Amino acid sequence: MNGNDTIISVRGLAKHYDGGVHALDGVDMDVSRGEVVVIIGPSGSGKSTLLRSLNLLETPTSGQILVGGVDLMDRKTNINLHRQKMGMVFQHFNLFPHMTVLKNMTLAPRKLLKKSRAQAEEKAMELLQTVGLADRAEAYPSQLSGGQKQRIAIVRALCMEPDVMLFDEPTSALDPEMVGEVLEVMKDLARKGMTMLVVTHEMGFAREVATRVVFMDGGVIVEQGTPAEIFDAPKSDRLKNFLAKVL
Amino acid sequence: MKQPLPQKKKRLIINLSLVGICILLVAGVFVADAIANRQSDLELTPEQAQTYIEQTLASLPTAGAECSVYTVENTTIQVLSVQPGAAREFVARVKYTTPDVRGMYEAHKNDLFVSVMEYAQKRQEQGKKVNATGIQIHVEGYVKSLLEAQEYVSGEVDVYFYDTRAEQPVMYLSDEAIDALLGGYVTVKDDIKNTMSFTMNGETVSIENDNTFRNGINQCFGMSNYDSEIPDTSSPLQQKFNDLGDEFYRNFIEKNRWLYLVEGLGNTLAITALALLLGIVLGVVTALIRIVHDKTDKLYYLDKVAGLYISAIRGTPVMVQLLIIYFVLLLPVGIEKFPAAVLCFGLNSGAYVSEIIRGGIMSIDQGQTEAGRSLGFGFWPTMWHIVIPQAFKVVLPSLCNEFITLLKETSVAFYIGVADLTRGGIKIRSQTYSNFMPLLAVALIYFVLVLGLTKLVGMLERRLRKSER
Repeated sequence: MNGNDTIISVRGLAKHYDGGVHALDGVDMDVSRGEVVVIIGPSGSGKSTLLRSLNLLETPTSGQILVGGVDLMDRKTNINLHRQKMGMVFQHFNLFPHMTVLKNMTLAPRKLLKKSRAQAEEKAMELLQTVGLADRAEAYPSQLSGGQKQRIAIVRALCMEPDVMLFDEPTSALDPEMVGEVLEVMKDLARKGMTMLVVTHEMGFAREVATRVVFMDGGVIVEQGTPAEIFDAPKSDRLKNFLAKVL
Repeated sequence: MKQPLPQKKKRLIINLSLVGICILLVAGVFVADAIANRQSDLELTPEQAQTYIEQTLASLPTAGAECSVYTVENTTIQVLSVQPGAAREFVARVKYTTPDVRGMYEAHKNDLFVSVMEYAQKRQEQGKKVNATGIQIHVEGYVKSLLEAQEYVSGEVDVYFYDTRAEQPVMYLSDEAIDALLGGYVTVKDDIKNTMSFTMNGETVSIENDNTFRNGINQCFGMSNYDSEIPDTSSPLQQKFNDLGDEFYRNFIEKNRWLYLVEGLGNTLAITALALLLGIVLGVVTALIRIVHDKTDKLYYLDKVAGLYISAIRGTPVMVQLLIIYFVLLLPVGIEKFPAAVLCFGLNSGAYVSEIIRGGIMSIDQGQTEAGRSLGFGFWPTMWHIVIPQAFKVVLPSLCNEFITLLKETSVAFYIGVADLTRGGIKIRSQTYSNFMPLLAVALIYFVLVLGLTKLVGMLERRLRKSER
């Protein structure tokens, strides 16, 4: 624990696949409470793998992940308890199609946090209000648009009152006109002080919301800094090259 | 919701009219057959008819029955005309002249019985037995002399011939025709048969229990080759139809043989239901073992066992499995046929159910598991709350189809002697020696069951698809 309240600390994280592919090749990273870290990089650079490693949806080959001071790689650690505190939003929403929006949101709080139905639903409705979807509480996912689905997925994760939110390319599967409504929810979340790690290709969002931008390539962090440092004064050739392509 | 109802109605009407058309077609075939076979293509001339009738009459008297012989010999007939009648028949108008047998009998009935009585008493006094042939020999000459003294009667009567698809029309001698042609012959025979008493020396003598008297007298008028059944003129098609009716009666109604099928059906359904239950339990367990192994690399040995079980079951015929399970494994331990069949089909079904369930669970997007896990659910709670409810919908139709397959497969259970539906049919077959009806009935019952189940599965599938939206 250094002075500025580190919540996630990653050391020497590596993920090697059979056949010699190194998705992560020694990543060191610290995230402080309240930070909004945006991870950018070309596809295959390992940014999604890094994010998914943070709640062990990917099992790293080696390295250390400390969340709130607890070593996730320790087999004795109850990973399920840690995942409760780390919300995750997926590219393809992954809402449960056989449940209504409300049930999607209340399932985990009721079963895992042992909340009463009324408590869980009250919290869920409150969150639905904030994303403007209170009227869709009884809808099934198949009746929602992509943007609506992703907003529901975000508030579903928030129902667990997590300390950290992980976003894995949350707008990549959306039609362009729906990207804005999802980013708006994320900005709102950032303003409220949520610790967020976001893998995205939305450079505008990164520039506007991020407290820090991390550029990854080839399984390592190549460069990181404030949005101004990264976007306006890139140092490495690889970053310059990347920015030239996406901006 | 506006369109479907009329559409359904329309389809119902189409279906009903199709059934109607089928019924009409079958009925039409029968009607056409009846019309085509209505008229005979044979010819019968009066000369032919005359010959047939004379020959038939001549063949009637029993050998040695002198009165019969006398009556027939003294009867003359002449066929006046032959007209084709309705329904493949010919009507021959016959003019006859014949001894008045009835007149003779009515005039001398009592004397006849008295004479027999006197004969019988004489025999008994001599200590000899009285039998019908003795009486016949005693009375015959007397009756014949009475007949010879009798007047002749004459008249006209219709004699019928039928075309039974033989080369010649077959003559039908009705009781009425013989009675007329032979001077009241049949009436007399009937009266003798029904006579219970007569008067002798002013006293009524009862012969109610003495058949020997009546038989003895009747033998004087003995007739053979006399069959009063109307010849069968039905067409081959009609005969087939009648035969089918008989077959049906023999195979199902007679001795309540249909009960074999009912009992068999009950056993088939019981075996199927129990085997399905066992199969589902086995299938779910093995499917979960294999999935856990796939996803977490745990349960290595259990996975190997499950894999072996599934490939062994899927790699061998169910019949062979049944024979091995019953004759090799269970019979020596003294386990009954029925539980053996349930066990075999349960084991068999379990392997297929396992693959169905595994497929269903695998078909659920990996993202669903990840979403569940990322919320903090463990492996099993994720399965239970998120994956299995979705997999269930995917799997249900296939499970129902497996049920249908199972239902049909249980038919091999007869091989170890389980009284299932197939065995019921075979039992009937072994009693009636007919193949068509019992086997067709068995097939039909299976078919109706499967058809019904398929319909139900279809409805279930549609219902599930609706709830998704």
